[in-house]
Amino acid sequence: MSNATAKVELTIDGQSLKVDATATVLEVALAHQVEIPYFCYHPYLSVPGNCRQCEVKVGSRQEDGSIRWMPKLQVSCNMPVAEGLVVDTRCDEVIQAQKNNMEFLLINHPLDCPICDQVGECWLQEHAYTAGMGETRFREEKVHMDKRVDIGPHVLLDKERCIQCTRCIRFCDEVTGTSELALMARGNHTEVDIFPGRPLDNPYSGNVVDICPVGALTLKEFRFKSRLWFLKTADSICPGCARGCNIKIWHRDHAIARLTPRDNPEVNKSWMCDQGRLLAPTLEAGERVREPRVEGKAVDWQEALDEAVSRLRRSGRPAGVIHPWSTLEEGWLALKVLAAAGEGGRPMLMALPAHEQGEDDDLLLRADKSPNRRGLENLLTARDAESASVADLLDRAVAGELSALLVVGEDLATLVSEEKLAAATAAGLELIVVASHENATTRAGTIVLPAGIFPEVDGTVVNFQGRVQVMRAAYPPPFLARTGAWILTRLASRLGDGSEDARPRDLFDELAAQVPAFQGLTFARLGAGGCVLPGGACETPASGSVG
Amino acid sequence: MSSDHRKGDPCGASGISDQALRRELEEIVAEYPEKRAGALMCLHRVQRHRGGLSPASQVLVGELIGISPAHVRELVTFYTLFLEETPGRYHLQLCRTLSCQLRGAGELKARIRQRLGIVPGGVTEDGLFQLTEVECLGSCDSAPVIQINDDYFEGLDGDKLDTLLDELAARPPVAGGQG
Ligand code: SF4
Ligand code: SF4
Ligand code: FES
Repeated sequence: MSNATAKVELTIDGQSLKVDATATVLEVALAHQVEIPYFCYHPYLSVPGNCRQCEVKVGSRQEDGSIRWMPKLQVSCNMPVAEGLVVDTRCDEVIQAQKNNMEFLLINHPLDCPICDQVGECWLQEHAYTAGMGETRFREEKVHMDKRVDIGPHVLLDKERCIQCTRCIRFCDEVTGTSELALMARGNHTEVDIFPGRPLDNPYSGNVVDICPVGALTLKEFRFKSRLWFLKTADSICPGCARGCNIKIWHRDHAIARLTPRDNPEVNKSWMCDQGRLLAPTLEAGERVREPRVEGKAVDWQEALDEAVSRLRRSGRPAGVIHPWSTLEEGWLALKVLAAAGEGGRPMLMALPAHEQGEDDDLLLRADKSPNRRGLENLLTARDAESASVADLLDRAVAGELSALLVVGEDLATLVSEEKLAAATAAGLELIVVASHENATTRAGTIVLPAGIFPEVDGTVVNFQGRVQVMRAAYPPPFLARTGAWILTRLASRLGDGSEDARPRDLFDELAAQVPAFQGLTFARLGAGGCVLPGGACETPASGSVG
Repeated sequence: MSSDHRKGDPCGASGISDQALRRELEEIVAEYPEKRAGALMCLHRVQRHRGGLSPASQVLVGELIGISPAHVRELVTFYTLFLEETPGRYHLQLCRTLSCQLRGAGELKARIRQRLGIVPGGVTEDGLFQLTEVECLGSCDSAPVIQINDDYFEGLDGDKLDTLLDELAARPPVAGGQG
């Protein structure tokens, strides 16, 4: 969009810049590290210009070189740039305006920071440090309002803390189109609220919590869980569906505290769905596989891996089943294992089950609940693997044509009946199972190799748009479990293909060099925003958190 | 505004059916090139017929003009003249701003309390009268003033108020026009 549009030259704080003629002063400032405080502006929402915190002094340069200043300060969020525009964001007048505005915003603010969840990411606190008075001159009684309003299944509203920036309202009007929120009454009595009996209940409701600049909107699932500075973060990708929203994993003590979206203009902007946001309980439910097992007996990794290799090799032509939650690296390795264990001459047999639910919507959610189907399909095609359904594979086992099955991440009993699975194992099928959680498949497994699951996994995935993105582990797998890539590199290397020490990034570079769809890509090129297949077109969004 | 707005009792809810009300609202909406522009007129009409704006009627108006109930409520709560609850049949809106205060609004308030047993915010047990204190009604030259539903009663004193209240109490629920 940028190349075609006209440019104008303006000066901000003495810095001369050539910028898109369609930009606003605030956008230009933010893009050039000029700090202007703001509350109501959000890059993906309309601009109401209601908070007034972003006011700056603007003028135009005259022919004689002098500057003609506008008599009043202007809100930079709604001020279009123009040729010869001069902007001053630091003069006394502007600083005083920021202070005055903060004083107004704080008049009725409850100042209950000690018990407020927003601390650490509160813009009101932030700007109070730089432009606050330090002491209030307000001697009257503050307006009191409801502090615990249940406005929806996931969101709680504290009306006293709200600064009426209308971001949450605009989100519901402009992004989800559901319009559950509005500003009721006026003057001192103004408050955000829902219509009685019409809760904030849309698939994206959690986003209003992220964009609320203060602690007025909190997520029930995270409220009072932790102070933010006790949490570590990892930039990753939501595995909830084929969208692959860019997210930040906030974690502590090897558990997810919360998931929030990361800005990627090409994928999810700064949004994510509630399903993805609240994925943690699903991932943390159930019993983890704690140690490697061979025929039900706990063994050490060495023995388990050796045993797995010998069974795979013995079978002559093992087949595989891979869950589309697996990363490209895991998929690549699984194919290497099958190829190296097989006798050659015949194509590999691999099932990549579908996981679909619901429908694609017009915002983010995809019916395909797998973060990497597209990537894995590309690998299967590139390696000429013959695709089969799980039912097919089990039928072959019953018919005596298949004696070993490498299962990565899937619970076969959710795809076919337990009886069918039992019939196949009774017919002699050996299951080499790489799994994070105990399930019918691990119980039937000949060899069970405990693996990590999101957010313990490092690797790359390809979303439905064909964008390759990097998933980063937040913490390592628990107990004796190892990541899928760790396990599979060791199997492959024992079978003679590759070194044990290959890291996911090395594996990505290796597969990118061999799979035509990934031509020209390297791990280093993926950057923060990912790259679109095939080859080129790397787009890296402005880093840093938006809103 | 169409001419039939004085149908029924100007000082009380009309007996109009839901269907007839809906038809009237549809007619209002049809008068505007942009549906949403009819919002205030629809709300006025509902309030005139029903005395106030129930949640169901706000939902209905939202449907007709294509905005969410929350945004209808935004309008309703912004304007103090819209009432979310149906008031008593006669809504006494007593001006409490300076001119009326100087000219005896306080006495009127005391008289109402004495006669009807209600203070601002209250409704009589029979649902006939409700009292609200409001800011300047813009009729300072004839202070003190009480607005009853849509009509102004000006230059009042205790005796005039008594007569007025008697007259209103004696009136049948849905009667003809009144000055
Ligand atoms: S609740 Fe938060 S986002 Fe919504 S208007 Fe208030 S301060 Fe802004
Ligand atoms: S839309 Fe899909 S990828 Fe995005 S947060 Fe939801 S489940 Fe995760
Ligand atoms: S950010 Fe400009 S007025 Fe709020």
